Amino acid sequence: MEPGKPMDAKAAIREFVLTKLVAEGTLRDDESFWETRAVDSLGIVRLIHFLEKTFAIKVPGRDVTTQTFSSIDGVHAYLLSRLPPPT
Amino acid sequence: MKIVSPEFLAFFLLVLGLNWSIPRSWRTGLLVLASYAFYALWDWRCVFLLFGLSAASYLLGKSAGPSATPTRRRLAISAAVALHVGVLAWFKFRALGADSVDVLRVPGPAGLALPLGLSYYTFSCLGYVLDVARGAPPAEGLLTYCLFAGFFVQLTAGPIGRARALLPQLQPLRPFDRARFYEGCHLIYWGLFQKVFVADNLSPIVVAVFDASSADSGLSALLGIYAFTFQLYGDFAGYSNIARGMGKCLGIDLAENFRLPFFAQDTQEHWKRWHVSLSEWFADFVYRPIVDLPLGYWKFFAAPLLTLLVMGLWHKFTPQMALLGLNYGFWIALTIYVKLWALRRDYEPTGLFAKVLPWLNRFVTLHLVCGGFILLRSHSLSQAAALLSQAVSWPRPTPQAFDLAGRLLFFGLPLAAAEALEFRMGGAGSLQRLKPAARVSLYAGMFLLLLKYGQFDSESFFYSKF
Repeated sequence: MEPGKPMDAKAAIREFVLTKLVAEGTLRDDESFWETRAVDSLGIVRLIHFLEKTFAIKVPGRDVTTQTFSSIDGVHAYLLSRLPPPT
Repeated sequence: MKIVSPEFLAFFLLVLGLNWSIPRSWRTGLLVLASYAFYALWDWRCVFLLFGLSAASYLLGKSAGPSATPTRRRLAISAAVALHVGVLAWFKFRALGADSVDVLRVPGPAGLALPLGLSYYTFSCLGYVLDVARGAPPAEGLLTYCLFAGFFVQLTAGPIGRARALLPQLQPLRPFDRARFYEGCHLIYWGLFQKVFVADNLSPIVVAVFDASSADSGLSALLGIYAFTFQLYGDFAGYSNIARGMGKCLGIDLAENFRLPFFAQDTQEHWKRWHVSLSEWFADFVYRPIVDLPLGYWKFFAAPLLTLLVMGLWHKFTPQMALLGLNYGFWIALTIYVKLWALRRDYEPTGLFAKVLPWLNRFVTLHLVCGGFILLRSHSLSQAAALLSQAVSWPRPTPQAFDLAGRLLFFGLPLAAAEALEFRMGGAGSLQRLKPAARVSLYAGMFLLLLKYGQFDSESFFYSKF
């Protein structure tokens, strides 16, 4: 995967969430982390750490809410808003 | 009418028999009638309170649903919070001084100090409005909603019903399912064992340590603290299992309330395994709003502290209970900090340490939890401090300590062994998957222990007074 490419970014987020954060079962891209209780707040912080490391972005604490970090789709949308536009 | 009593058994068997012999469309009415009759037997005045709060939250849920305008939804949420928190706080403040947290008894009907199960149905009702505002499907009718809010098996001390999980099972009620019925019978039996064999037999140890002027040695104090932790667990998990079992026998799956909490490797995990329906309620409606605040990362440490402070004060509005919550919240916040520290340094334990660490973590977590529970059972902050300092002093063996240790082992070991087996088999509820011969042996062993040592004239459930 080439870091920073939007099409790959979602796959990378999905892989991280499903392999590192979701203890059992699976999670659809649009399923809520919070309603399913699949990812807890520590998991969210681990996800942020992953995003910062993989995509070289900075995620300010005020951006981290249950709306922005709601699901794989939500995190992907947030990531796209933080990545520089493609040249 | 106590849950563990011949009267309640007769009441339940009557409801069970009627439930499966009348037409399905009448069952909701029957269960609502049974629930209100059960509550009226405790105190008829409380029936009006239960119905009033149920009707109000049902109507407010209609105003908070997906078709409501944002202003209308906000108004409905504000009204629901003001009403339910207001009623709960009013009764809780009124009860301050009328009872004490250290007695395993619910205030009698005459005083109406704190209506039985008030917390649980106010949380269910308020949670319903908030869940509907977040997109959960609303109840289809008031009668169904009255069952959701006041179902008698969960009325006393939960588990707290949530709209997404419980309502779909009630509209319509499900047909008879033999596997669910058997599972229910197992849960009732196991819950009864946890309550009348484990919890109520550990009670004298707890009384000897917490209600005496002091334990005769550090070891006795330590054993008394362990005994209270397991008494509380046996009592509350026992109640929850009986409630879930009765629900299953009637065709309704209630929320799981305990998931082998003593196998948690840290306090954060313990929070997710102990009194799960309450922890999830607070996580959804107190913790999450704090995380949503536009603040820096310190909110991830503030959120557990504040949430657990509120949970502590929910027990009783006293400094002691505030400290109970803050203590637990502090250990959760510290756990998050330590895990993040390890994450940022890519630290992974290796070798022998990696193998030992989970059990070391469980040992430490158990003791942090036991230490916190001293505050729940002590008569005062000074008694809690004295017991704690005595418990960490040199464990001098005394005749009392030997006696307490023997009883703690005898009444606690069967529970510990069963939980260890469930843990090995993959989680809470695994005992039902034992092979038939092993299951029959287990049930026979439990029966003999119950017959010989069961305290059937048992005390009320600890958490029913909150």
